[in-house]
Amino acid sequence: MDLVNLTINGKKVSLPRGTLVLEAIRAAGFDIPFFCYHPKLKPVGMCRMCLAEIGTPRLGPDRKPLLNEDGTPQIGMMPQPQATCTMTISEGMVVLTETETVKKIQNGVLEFFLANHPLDCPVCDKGGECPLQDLTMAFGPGKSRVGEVYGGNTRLREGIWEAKRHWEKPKPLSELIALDRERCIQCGRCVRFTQEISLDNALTFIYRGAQSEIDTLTDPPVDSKFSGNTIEICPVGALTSRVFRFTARVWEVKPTHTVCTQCGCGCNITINTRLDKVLRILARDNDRINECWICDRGRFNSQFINSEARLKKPLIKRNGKFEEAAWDDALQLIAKTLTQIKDAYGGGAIGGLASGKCTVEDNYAFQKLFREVLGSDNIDYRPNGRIKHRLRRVPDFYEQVENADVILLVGADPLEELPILDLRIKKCITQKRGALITVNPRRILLDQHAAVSLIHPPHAEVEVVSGLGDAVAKGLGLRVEGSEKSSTLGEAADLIAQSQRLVILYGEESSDELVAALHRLAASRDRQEAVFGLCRHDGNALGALWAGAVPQNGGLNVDGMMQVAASGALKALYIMGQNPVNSYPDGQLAKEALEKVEFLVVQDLFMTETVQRADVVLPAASYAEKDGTVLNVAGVAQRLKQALPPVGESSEDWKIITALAYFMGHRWGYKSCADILRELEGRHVEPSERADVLTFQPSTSKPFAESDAETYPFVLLTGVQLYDGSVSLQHSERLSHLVEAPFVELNRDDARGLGIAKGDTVEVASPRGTLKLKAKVGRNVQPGTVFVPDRQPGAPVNLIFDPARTVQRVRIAKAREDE
Amino acid sequence: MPTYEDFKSQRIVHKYIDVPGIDEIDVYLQHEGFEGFKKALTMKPEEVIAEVKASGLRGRGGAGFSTGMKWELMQKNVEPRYVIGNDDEGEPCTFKDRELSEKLPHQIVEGIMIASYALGAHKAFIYVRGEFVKGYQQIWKAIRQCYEKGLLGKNILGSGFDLDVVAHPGAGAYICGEETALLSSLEGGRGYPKMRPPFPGQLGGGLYRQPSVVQNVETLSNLPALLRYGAAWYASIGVPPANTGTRIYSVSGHVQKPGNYELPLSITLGELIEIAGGLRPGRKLKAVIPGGASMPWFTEQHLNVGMSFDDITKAGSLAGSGSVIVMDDTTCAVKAALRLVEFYKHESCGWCTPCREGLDWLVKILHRIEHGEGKEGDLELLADMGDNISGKGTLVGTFGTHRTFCLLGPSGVSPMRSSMNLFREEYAYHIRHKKCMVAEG
Repeated sequence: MDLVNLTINGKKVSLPRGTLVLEAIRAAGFDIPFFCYHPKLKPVGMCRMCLAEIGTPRLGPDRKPLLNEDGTPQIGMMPQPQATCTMTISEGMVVLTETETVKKIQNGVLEFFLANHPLDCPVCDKGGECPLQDLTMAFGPGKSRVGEVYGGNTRLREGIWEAKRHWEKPKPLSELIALDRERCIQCGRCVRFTQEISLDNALTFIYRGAQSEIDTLTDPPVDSKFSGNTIEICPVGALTSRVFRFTARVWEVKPTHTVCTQCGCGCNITINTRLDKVLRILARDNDRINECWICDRGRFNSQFINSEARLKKPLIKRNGKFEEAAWDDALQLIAKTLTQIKDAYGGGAIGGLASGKCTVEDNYAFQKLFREVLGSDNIDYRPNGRIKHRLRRVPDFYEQVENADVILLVGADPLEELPILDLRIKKCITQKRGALITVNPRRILLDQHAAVSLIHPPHAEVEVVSGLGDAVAKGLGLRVEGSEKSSTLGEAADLIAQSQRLVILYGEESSDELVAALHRLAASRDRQEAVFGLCRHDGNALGALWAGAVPQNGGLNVDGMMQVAASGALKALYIMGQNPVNSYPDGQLAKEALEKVEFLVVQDLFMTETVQRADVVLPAASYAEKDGTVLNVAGVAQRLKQALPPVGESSEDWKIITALAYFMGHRWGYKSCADILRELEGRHVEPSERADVLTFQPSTSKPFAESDAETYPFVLLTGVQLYDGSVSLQHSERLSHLVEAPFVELNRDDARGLGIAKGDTVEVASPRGTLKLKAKVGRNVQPGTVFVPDRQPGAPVNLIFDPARTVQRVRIAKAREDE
Repeated sequence: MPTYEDFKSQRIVHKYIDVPGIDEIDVYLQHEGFEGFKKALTMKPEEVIAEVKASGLRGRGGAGFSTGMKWELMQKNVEPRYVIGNDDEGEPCTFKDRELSEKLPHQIVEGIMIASYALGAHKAFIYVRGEFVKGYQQIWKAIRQCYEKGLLGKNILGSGFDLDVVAHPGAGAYICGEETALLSSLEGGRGYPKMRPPFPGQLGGGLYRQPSVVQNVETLSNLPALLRYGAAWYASIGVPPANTGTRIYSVSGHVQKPGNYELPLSITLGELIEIAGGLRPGRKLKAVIPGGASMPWFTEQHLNVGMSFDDITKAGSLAGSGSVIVMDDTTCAVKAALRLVEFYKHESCGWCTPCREGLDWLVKILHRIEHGEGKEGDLELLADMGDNISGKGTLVGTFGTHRTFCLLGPSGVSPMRSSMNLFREEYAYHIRHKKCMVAEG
């Protein structure tokens, strides 16, 4: 490495070239105060807090350093102190941070900050973890000289001549963030975050000079899925969380370092609890995963954990009504009934849905219950059978994405599915100059940063990727002149052919043909092997796979279980942490299946649509309430830590299952997660080998007949949304505004043709059913297609979805007024 | 006593300013219009740069940097590259560029054409102060007329040189006259100064991160004549070798004939005041700000100082934008300082702390002194807070080293420091007697 020698306060250090002086000072073990500098943001030199005296060796006419009489190099000090955050180190540099000049500057800048800062620390949420407080103690003036402008002359005290700037406080910036303009020191960290990291420009400065303030110009206000990070990087109490505001002082809370499982990113978080209530969630630094950011869902969706609506006791349905029961009674009933069914029909008549939302240990216990106790191989952790599962561990996945020179993104929208991956892709584009190629049937927000966006007709992704592969293989296509389409394809092929570090990200419902085409595409380059990333959403999807919660010896997968159950052949179904009524693609089949099974056991947090159909309900613990192991989207294993005990009588899933096994005569003797993990690792078979053993194939899909295409002229596209109708969001009041009313997105030309305007209620009908949705009109979807997100609250698209068809088609009509 | 008539024949930029209709291209063409540009086209670009360097022309915007040197330092072999005319004249009491924009717009365009040819730029911008509505219209008129005559666009006059010029209005921020803030504004962002290095002439520092040269429009207006008559002629005017040519001095304040006067750089301050009609009868000179509102103040003893860049620096101030503010003995030093600091406080962009917060407080304290509410210790407080914005180690006169991101903060401190250094007794009187010494006298 190229090292540079310099002297900081008399201490000699060698650091890599390109290091900022500020970082060098810190690396040398000295303290340097700063506000605007943030390691993940570009240096700007705004706050002027980190100034130091800097000198460089004097050079003679021969460009060689001049020496003093004693042989030491002559140092020419710069005429004025320099901002150390905007300067990189150089050979022989001398940095002084403890001189009187520097101290006077630090004192002076802090005095300027405090001149208008309200000093309402006793009621400020930031108090106790506030850099301005801390740095004032360490570097600031003892008292203010500018506290009051005028004595008795009240006439002069009005308006701009007031002692301090006053603002209405706080001003709500969005539903989640409050802005106290009096406290703001205008370091611009928040603004720069939205300009450099999240790239959504959700915040900006308005007005000028001493009157500048932070504001949002987006609609809705602060239109960002990462807005909460601005609260965390604010060095004062200017931006505060409206969810956490005034609920506790920061020194009263108990921090628990754990991992977010709300999506597959695996962000490291700290849960702050007080008196066993979750108060707030903060990002925890991990440069290999989430750096220091988390998304707003991960940060603010915490109220559901302590929600009153949580299931707190086991429930047994008697005469169509749930009655609270003791754990022993409920488990005994389950043990007895499952034993009866097993004896009467064999273990094959029992099915189990595990979950990628539960931990490795939960899933391991679940599959062990099925395999060892119930004698059944009908286990699946996936919400549906279309989801690809492949366990490939890429420990440096996020770094690979960040350092890619080309990212090919196929059939996925990371902003909605895996928000932190979205940030890394953006970082790759803006900071590492990587190029993004997207292949999607509709426009996504990330497209505005893409080098090439290949928007293709629905279900033509295989052709597009194959076409790309052919172009790359032929080594031509390189910027074909002519039609726009061929030139963009050529441009994409050009980028891929030349890429040294190609990363291919594809959606979790990609077909086998698509995956094969992607592999052919990657192989057609005579370059370093590409990195493949499968965008699994669930927080522990890969962990469930690793734990073996999939059929391995000819058992039924989730599709098989649904179909067999609907036919009446599956007698009992045990569901852990899933809601197939809402999330299985064929909602009607799922409902039918759950009605038909004789005995349905569900373990969950809330009274979901699926839970309502259960015979026995077992209250489970959320991710904040348990220890365990989870694997993120890249197969990186991380630990969950219990932040609070499970609410009510609810319990960790693995404990419930271990107890049930006990009631069925199996003493597993697990005392903690560690016991399970040890056992799992002892018997471990790398699951990628067995993952593809799926015996049950659903009945083959039939294409739509021509006549259908006339009646149902629009192709229906579905996709994941970050703020969907999932049950945890329904029970977090503060996020309810983020969950949009169920909508369908139409191309504006189609909408005009149908006489539909933005906001109209429309009926979306398929042969299977009709949904009433609000119309969104724009150019994100192509003509002839409509987009309806999955799992919308109250209007799940799976009710009109027909999995027997390869292409979903619908009819759109404006709903009649009188309805 | 010298009068302006004695110097009118030596004018370079204002040579034809009195010709009726000179703001129409046909009249301009009859008065040596575009001769300089045509001359430049016969030369190689490097030769034009060498010519400008040999002339000793220095930037008329404020810093007085050698134009030829700046052009030489612009990063080579990077395309695209830009030339930007800085017509965002916002300094109080500076009004030379406004007159040039309104009366001699073609000369500005010709200047930017010469600069673009020399620097290999094919796109040039003229950033016009938002308030210069007429100037903006005149410049656009000149640009349009140039296109009509084939002087702009593709293959100009058959030379193979292409150039497009665009005039862009500012939105009312003084800081956008600072070249990097101007670039931010021209790019469509907030008018915040940018970090240097990289300098605008380097890759990464200029407009759209491309090498760019930002040149004051008075500097540009000097180029046509410079090319027409050659560097040797230009270098013979003024105080060779480093202070050549003429300068437009905007004289304002307590003189009888305030206005723009184009004079050789060899003129002295005393002569300049006389040319501008001298003081009102019976008044005594109190102070003069020789180079725009932010520069250290001169007094009667400086009347023999030459108004060239180097002479003013030697005497402890800076030539700045060439505006001369004359204050006679009816002026209250505190009020004058307050008015000037208030301007800088109002124009602070808010980017860095000392300027944003510090100037705000300087104004508040000056305001209370001026209004008879001053306190004991205010003078020390003012001085110390000034030091926290603009360091004690002064560069020139009262113009200090900066603790700020750009020079606006120190510019705001300088008038307060100057007036306090020179007229401390007035401040003390204000605080002690709660009223103004001058008004009473």
